[in-house]
Amino acid sequence: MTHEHQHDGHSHSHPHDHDHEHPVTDTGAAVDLQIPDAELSPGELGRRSFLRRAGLLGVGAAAAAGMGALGGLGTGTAQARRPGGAGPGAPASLMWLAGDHHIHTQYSPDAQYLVSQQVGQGARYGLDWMVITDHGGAAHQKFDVEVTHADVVAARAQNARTLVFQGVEWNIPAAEHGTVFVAPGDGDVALLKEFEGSYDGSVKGATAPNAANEALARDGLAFLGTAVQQGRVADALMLANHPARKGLDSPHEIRGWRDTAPTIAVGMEGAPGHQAAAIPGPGHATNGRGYYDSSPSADSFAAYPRESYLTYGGFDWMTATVGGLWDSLLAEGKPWWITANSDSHQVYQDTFAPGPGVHATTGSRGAPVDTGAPIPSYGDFWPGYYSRTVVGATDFSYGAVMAGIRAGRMYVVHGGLIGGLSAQVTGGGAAPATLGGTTMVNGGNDVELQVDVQLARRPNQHGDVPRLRKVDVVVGSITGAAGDQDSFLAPDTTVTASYEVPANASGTFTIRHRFGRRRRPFYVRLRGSDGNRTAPGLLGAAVDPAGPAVDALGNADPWTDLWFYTNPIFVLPR
Amino acid sequence: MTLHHLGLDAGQRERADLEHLLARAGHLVVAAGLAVRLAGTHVVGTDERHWAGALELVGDRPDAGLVDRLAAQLPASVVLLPGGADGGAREAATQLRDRSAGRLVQFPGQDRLVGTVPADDVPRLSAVEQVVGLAGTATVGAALQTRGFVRPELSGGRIVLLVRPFVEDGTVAPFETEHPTPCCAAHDPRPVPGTAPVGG
Ligand SMILES: [Zn+2]
Ligand SMILES: [Zn+2]
Ligand SMILES: [Zn+2]
Repeated sequence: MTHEHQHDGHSHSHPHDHDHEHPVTDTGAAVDLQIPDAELSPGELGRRSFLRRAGLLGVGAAAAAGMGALGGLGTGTAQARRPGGAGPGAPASLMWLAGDHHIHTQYSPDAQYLVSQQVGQGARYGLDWMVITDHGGAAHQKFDVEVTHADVVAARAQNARTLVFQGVEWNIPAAEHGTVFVAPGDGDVALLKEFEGSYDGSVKGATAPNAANEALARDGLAFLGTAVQQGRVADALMLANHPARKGLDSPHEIRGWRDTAPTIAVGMEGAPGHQAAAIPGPGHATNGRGYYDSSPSADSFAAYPRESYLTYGGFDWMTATVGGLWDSLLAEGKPWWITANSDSHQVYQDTFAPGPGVHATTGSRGAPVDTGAPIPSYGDFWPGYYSRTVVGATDFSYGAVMAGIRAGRMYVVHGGLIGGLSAQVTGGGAAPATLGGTTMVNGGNDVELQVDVQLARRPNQHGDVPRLRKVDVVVGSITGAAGDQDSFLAPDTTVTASYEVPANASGTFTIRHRFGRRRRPFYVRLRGSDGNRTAPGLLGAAVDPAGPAVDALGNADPWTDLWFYTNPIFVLPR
Repeated sequence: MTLHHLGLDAGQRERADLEHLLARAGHLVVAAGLAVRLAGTHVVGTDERHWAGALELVGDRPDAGLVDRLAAQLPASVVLLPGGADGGAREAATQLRDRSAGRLVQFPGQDRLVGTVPADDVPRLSAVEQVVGLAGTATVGAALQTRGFVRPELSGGRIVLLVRPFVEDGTVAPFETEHPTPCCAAHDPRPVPGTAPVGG
């Protein structure tokens, strides 16, 4: 198989360095578990012990801290601070690559497009990377893994500027769906096929939320981790999709995935796809935005409130609630990142209908048929058209995108609300850390969040040049591993500042936010809005005075309710 | 008026199956001379959670023969509070009696909650005691578009109707929709939306 060698002109070597690199910084040795305790200086050992006590020293936290120490920020601002040891793959600068890890094709029973159509559209709408994720299931496992691979290889050849990953939308046993994808390589098809055959909830009849099925999900993630360790594939990742849609992903399951395979299970969709589903019009009257229009079943986690079944400014309740589930995970100081994707099955106002194939017996619906007239009942957008996950990658390669996702160097944007973003925490006598990173600061009061937002200059796909009205700074204490694995509250997390963007602002909007003297570990994340629809947060106006408003059934115009969210930066006072 | 609470558990994983069972149970109960005031669906069990049903009956206390007949004919485990063994049937009946959890598929005034009604009028028109707007949804003065499908919930000792914003400002709809978008897994494909050309 030679498909991984078709990106001539781009670096596609993947040093796979996320857990072998030894960043030479004042924090690197303490968090680098490759270095045994005995080889640390007393100071470093003290720091490592602190991190252990705080629950911050998992494999993922170590990787995150290592990447934070790389300090990449836009073009070249922070690179000079990276001391020495520039091994293979060391960044000259980060490139921010827009992508989508959740895309369906004719190989899903409820979708229709060719792989080449989806990849072509994503490339047209500016995506640098994409993951093909048809639904796992018996027919898919039997018929589709090889044919998808052939199509993906062809799509790579046709779109040299686009990284096309092969994955699957895993029916997580006992839970919701998740994207599983791998780095290209000789073992990828066999591995995906074995994984789906052994661990897909639909293939295995393991959808009920019982202990055995929950264990099967963790086993599947552990299987992927082992496969990477053994070199069967160069890399693999899992991200939970539409996590709150039906109340199926309980907090203890999410924590279980993360803690079982911290280098594999790294995050979830902060915003689901299907963002066109509740645009007013025929066939949409009782749709929720993102198709979030369900109610609890026997499989749902009973303690989730009814509010968790709704979306807020297009975002999933877990992410949209300041002080909610996502923050409760971050408050543990462990990595858990968010993304935003299209979940593209059938595109709003597209003219194509599914082909005549019988998926159950052939694995394919065949080529879609052009009806010649727009179909308004569809609820999705093309990849890249509305939702983007933007990853800070050290080079243009499959490995670098996966490493960037694992490091949490990501922000998500809807509808082209911003043109770009860089953020870092500086000061404290430490190397700066960017999104997903960790900085270990001294007791000084010069710890500062620096944000540069490139305001939108070009019209989005709706023809509007979006106007960013405000940027919120969300800060939460890091309190260590959760005592209650089913907790979904972070009582210390609030919007601590909100920066209004002047009406006449253009170019770059800059924030310099001082944290003052803080003795306890904390994290900071950002959220921005066009300001069109805001409401007090679900945990009260004192926590979030102007958060995203709940989306209406059948009337949620995604173009007039735009948000961006970043992943957090962890700040650990020494 | 004396109320009695009957629980039924056939170990069902699909709520639609339970609703069929409840309908059959209701017929048998009415044939025995009792009236069904409330019919509820309840999630019960711990590791193997599933659906169980409960009926609130009006009339003379049913005799043990009714419980046995229901158990044999449905079939299901059936309990009549305050008796009965621990299990899903008892759990469901207790949830209904205490208004602690579950949802109602039958309740007094259900036939009046059709079309569009003022949300403020719902407690006057029906057994619903309170209309609660989710996530800050305003209900005072709002128009409730029932869409012919109202499933109040039992919570905190009350019968409440949870609502969410719907289509126009000032309009709300019940939280629960009759036809939620199905899970799009391969074993449960979403029906393909109408592919007939609709306008340009
Ligand atoms: Zn899905
Ligand atoms: Zn999907
Ligand atoms: Zn689907």
